[in-house]
Amino acid sequence: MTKDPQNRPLSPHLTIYRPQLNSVLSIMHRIAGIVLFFGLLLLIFWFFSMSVGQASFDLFSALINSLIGRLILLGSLCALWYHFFSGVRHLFWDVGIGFGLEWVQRSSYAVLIATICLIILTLLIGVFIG
Amino acid sequence: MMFRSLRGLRGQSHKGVESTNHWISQRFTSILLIPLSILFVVNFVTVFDKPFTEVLKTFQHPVNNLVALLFILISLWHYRQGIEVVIEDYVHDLGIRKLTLRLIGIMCWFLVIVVIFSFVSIYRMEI
Repeated sequence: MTKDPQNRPLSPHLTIYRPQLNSVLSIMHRIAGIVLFFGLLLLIFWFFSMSVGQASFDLFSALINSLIGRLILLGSLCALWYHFFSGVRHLFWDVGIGFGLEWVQRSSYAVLIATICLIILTLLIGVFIG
Repeated sequence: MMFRSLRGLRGQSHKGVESTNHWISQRFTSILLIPLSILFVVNFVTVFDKPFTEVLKTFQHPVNNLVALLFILISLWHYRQGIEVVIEDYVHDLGIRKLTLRLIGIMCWFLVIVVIFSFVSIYRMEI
């Protein structure tokens, strides 16, 4: 044990735990949040290119409508709905609802199912209404 | 006194009370983003592959314009709140932590200016 307040041992030592559904979903929430920042940057550039004029918009539009561009959009969409439902679950926890192993386990599956449903629903809206 | 003892944990820039406020305002932006992200995503997936004039017309509509603007600005704010917590968790060197937090702050304000400039231009653009 060191007395240096800047250099204390950290707990818990996450690396010695066996990965569980809850811990994996928890770190995925953060990863999705960080991924979403890049999606947000892309979105900001999209609107900026629109504000500059048609030529720059067309160029940027061709970029995000290419195969790679669409894969990036799809990735952002998945991250968005995952972070959304995982975040909603956090809001419930914040007001004290949904604790207890059984409920945590159930809500983990609910978050995953809701995420997949909303990804599919959003894609359907894009294909049939857009 | 308990709050005072927490001073310094957040890159020596925040006191305990500010950490509580940070937590509360993070919940505030989360709740705002629930309706905004639904509205914006539905709007976006229906127009993102359309030609310029159609996209422009969509986002010149005051409601779409406001929803998109609020979604982006509040997302940026929410991102900053979230990444601050992540950095406080993983960056242990207080000097580097403080510098990173400041750089992220500057980047976010720069993006806010870009976004507001873009949306005002889009709104005033003549087709």
